[in-house]
Amino acid sequence: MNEHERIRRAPPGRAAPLRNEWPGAPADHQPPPDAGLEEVIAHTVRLGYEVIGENIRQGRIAADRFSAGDYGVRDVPRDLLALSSRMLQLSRDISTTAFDICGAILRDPTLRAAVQRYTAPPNPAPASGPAGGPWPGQGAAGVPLTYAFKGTRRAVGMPGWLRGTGQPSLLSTAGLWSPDPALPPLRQVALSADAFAIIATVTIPDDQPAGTYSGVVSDALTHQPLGAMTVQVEA
Amino acid sequence: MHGRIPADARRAGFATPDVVPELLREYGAATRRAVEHYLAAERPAPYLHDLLTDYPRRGGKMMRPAICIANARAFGARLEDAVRSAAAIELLHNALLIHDDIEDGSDLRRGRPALHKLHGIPRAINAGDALLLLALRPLLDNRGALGQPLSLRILEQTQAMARETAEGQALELGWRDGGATDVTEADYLTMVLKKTAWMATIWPAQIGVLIGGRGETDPGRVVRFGFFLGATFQILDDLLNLTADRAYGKELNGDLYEAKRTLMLIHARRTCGDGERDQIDAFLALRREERTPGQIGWLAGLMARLGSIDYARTVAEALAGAAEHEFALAYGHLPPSPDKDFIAGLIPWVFERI
Amino acid sequence: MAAAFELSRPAHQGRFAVTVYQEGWRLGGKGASGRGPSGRIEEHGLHVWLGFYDNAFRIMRDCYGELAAGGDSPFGDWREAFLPDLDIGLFSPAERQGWQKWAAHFPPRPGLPGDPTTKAEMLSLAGYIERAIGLLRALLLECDVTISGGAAAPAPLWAPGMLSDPARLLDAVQALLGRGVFSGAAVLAEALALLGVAIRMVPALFESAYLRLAERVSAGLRGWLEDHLLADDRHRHVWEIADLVLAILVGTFRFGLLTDQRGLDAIEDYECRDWLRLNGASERALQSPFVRGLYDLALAYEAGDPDRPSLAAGQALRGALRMFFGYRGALYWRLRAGMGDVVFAPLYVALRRRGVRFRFFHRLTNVGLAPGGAVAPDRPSHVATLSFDVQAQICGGRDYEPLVPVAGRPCWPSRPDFAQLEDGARLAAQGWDFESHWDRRRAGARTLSVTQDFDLVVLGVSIGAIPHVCQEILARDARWRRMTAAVKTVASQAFQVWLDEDLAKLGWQGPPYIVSAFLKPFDSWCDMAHVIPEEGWAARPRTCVYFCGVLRDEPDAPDDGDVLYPQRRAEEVRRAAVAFLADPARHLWPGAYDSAGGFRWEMLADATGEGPAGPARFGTQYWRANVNPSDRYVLNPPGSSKHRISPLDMSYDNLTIAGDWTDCGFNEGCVEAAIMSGRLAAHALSGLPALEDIIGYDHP
Repeated sequence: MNEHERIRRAPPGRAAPLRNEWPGAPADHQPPPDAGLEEVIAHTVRLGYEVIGENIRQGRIAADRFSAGDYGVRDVPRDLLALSSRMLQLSRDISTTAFDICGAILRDPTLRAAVQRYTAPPNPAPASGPAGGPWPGQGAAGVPLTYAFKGTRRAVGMPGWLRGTGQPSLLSTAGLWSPDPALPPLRQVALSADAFAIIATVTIPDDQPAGTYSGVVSDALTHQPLGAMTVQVEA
Repeated sequence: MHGRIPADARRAGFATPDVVPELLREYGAATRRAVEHYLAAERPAPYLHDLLTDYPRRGGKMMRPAICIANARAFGARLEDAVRSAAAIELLHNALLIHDDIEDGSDLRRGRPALHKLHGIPRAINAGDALLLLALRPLLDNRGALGQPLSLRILEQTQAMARETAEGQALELGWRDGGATDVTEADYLTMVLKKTAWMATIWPAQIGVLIGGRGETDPGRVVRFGFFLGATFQILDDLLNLTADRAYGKELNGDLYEAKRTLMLIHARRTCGDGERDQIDAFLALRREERTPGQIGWLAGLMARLGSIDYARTVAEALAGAAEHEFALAYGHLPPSPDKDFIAGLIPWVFERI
Repeated sequence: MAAAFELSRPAHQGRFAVTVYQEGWRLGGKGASGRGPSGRIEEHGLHVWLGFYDNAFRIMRDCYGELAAGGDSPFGDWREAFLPDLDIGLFSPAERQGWQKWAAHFPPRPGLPGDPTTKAEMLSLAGYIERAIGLLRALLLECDVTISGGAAAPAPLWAPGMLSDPARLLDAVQALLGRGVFSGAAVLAEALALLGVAIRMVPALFESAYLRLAERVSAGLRGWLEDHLLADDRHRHVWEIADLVLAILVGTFRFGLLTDQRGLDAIEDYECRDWLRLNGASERALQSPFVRGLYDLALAYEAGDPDRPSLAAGQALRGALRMFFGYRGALYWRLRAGMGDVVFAPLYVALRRRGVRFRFFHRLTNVGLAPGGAVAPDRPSHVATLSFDVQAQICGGRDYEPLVPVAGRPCWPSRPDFAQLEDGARLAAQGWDFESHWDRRRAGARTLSVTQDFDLVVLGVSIGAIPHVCQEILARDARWRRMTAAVKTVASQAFQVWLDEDLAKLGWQGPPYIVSAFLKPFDSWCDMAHVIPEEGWAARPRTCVYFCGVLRDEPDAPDDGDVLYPQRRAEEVRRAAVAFLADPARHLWPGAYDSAGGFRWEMLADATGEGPAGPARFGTQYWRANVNPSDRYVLNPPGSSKHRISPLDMSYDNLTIAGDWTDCGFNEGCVEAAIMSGRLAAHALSGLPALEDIIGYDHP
């Protein structure tokens, strides 16, 4: 038997399983400093596939979780357009990115329904642009007005629109009044803006009589009326 | 085509097809029109409107929205079907740029001062948030033309991307603020995947696939291709920041000041001697304002000397090879079209900027 | 066989000329099966394939595919050969009196075993734990527990922003526990959800925090579960499983398993029950049918003594996690016929077609090393000679043809075809038993030399045989000595009955049809009615049932010269089986007994039609004692894994080893381990398959 001819096994690349792999764990998982070009390429590509494979797997698990969904929204928004302020509030609560709103929309059937109603324009789109064109008519009806309520009383706001002024403006209002002079007005009305709409935050005292209250929103500088607010306080 | 291609051969014989700049122009213009529509429809809210509209109007390569439109058309849809989503992609991209520039302490964006330099950080943050929300609107408007189920799927995909992006940002910030010294290639690729590739190349392609396939085609099919393309893109972007010999809209060596954990830094730290490693670690432990141009110069020189630049370039080419392989798997079955060529052509295109 | 299959793949382009040397007349070792009277299937014991046996299924699918591609295959499609099943059961003494049957239905999961899988698609340990928690939540929510306190449903405990901050997580759970009385399983489920999500987020830094969390949840849950569930026997299994899952959870954190490089190997020195007990599992849960079934199915009793259960915690956990959370398609798969017919016959045919040679009736007697001293990985040696007993010569020097047709398919017979053997009539008359360790009669001997007759060796005998055939290696290699001392084996016993009535009539309502944790010695059994059409009965019985369990070693090991040892043990099994049917089996099959309480022996199907009545009728059925050294089932007692040697080991530069006794990444006695080791052996010799392609090798 000629020792030179005897066939021997080649040593394997590694001789044990990789049990627990954590990002940044085994230092021997990187190519040696003097690795040739081929090794770097092969190693890199393999690493890339591992990274994306892990990411895809995580995504599947996350998708399962989101479809189960337990975002505990229980109260029913009474004013559809107030949802826009609610969405903004959600984005402030959620510390990662504001796009968790998408998640809230997707998981919460009431939010979802409301958003659908929100995106339908209140007036039919003017006949400019081709039918089914890229974007619905916008701007012709004005800026949406939405409501938020403070206090223990239940109230409903009537959706409305404010006329746009074409330049930045401060808004003012003298409050909301009932046609019945015996009823006290709602004076605590704060106007604020977000990317979607103007928000009228109305504070209703506990002893406010039920009824319908309305008021005018004006441009603070020119005093031009821009639109009306109407609120119905329930018994 | 998957393997070893020397850098000069790549430059020589593997040029970007003309369809890439052509469609970038065409789809970019269509997207800009849509973006402008949404910007113009915004109420001119004080302290917000000008900030919000600034970045989107500064222009850009429009790679991300173009990927979306090209994928949609390659899979059979019309430009009009995809342009709203493309606008959302561009708006979202710009919103994140505002935040990125604050985080990175950048001075310049697209040749002009960064938004927070012009208006201060609080208002810039506010504008970024508002722009994010604004980006939602075209996605909600999809409902009319694309129908409810498909629009919701696009929103779902967007959410998945947003989560990844947030995680990637957190990773990178964690390394920076924690002074991490032991970041590896695998960590880097994971971070790049999450922070960059998802938003820049994977998600736009997925939206396009969803629109083109009318929800029938699985958006998962483009994830690997998108990842390899996006990773290549980011590595080359990192290289550009170190090596460009002319300004390209951001400041040179900004990444070094930030001690951004790039492949070059990882490689340098791994291959240098012990004394040099201690110096690197000391550098990493400093705050940005404590880092001096002298230290930056030393670090850049070290990277060049150790071959870290070449290493990163090789890695980019390797990943580009993988991207070509994945392109064939994901798009191979499609009939020939300019859009299909465009998508394939993005691979050599990302190298062009070096 | 897996090694041979891999080395003979067309991708190697004929680089390896493979010859398989097999004692006796059939392939398969512990997986061999035969055909007896009426073509009935006669197996070593109970063989089911679990849904996570990805390597095993991969090879079978490739094999069946190759045969089908080659033309009309008598074996059909692999999906006809492996039948999915989703229900398992435990049947054991109830708490107070009587018996309790627990059936679990495992929903089908996407994919099929053996589907291509990337490593990244395998679960990490964190992923498994997450699944385990999900299981727990599902169990809890199934329970009908009334709400106490009647308060409105609690507000959600946690917001997404909390998830990266374990301190806030802890506070949330603290608040939960601080409520005192839980208002329902839903709240507990929510706490578990928190933990599950927390685990997924695990940055290593937070592990100690999660430990606190896990311990607190666990303590709170235990108390609650005790109060609410124990009283109701119907839910007892929920409590027991919950208890075990909690112990696993706490143990995972306490032992740092999520970040330990060794994965579950980190706890392989602990005995399974001991480890669970350390982590807070109650005695009641540890002695539950659930744990008992785990041990029974692994035959995990040292020396076959039921009072000496012995199972390493690391592998036990690994096996359980993969079994319950890693299966594809169905939890387990039954074989349509004997394992020899379904697995080894197709493999044999496919390998023959590829040009692999087979030498039957060659019993290995010695692995001879090159001269030298002590052997270790840094002082390697090599195999110089292989010595065989040639048990019989084939007439005319031809190749032995081992398969016989039964019901249209090629099968292995239970006895060799003496007609093909020289002097066959005499060998048959003298009762030569080519598979018995104690029957050393032979027709000749043969020694192969390295380089002339072979270049590389895959040693596939089981570890029970190693001390007999590797004496040179054991004399010179300390690691092999430690391995043979540490890796223990156990003998098993089995019997099969064919019945003229089906189980439903006998009083067993299935599913499930595979059941464990019953009384010793035959604690596991399975209804095998589906194999009857594959047999050759003139008058078909309604069903057949296989029983198996460990067989206790005798106090003194048998002499090598004790030729009657196998018969003696077999007779012992027969008596035990008869006694088993006479009495304890009545709890399983109440309907099998007559009004006097006696087993209705006439139900046993007898092909000859003239079998005796009464208990003697059992003599027409099939039973066996698996006492041959290489037939002994391989165990994984605590601390033994580290002494196992991997097929990748380089102590011998022309030798590799294969079998479920090697360090193959899944160190448990099962088909999957055997096949993984065979693939590793092929990798050791040829570089293929890549280690990353051996599914489950790189795995916590």
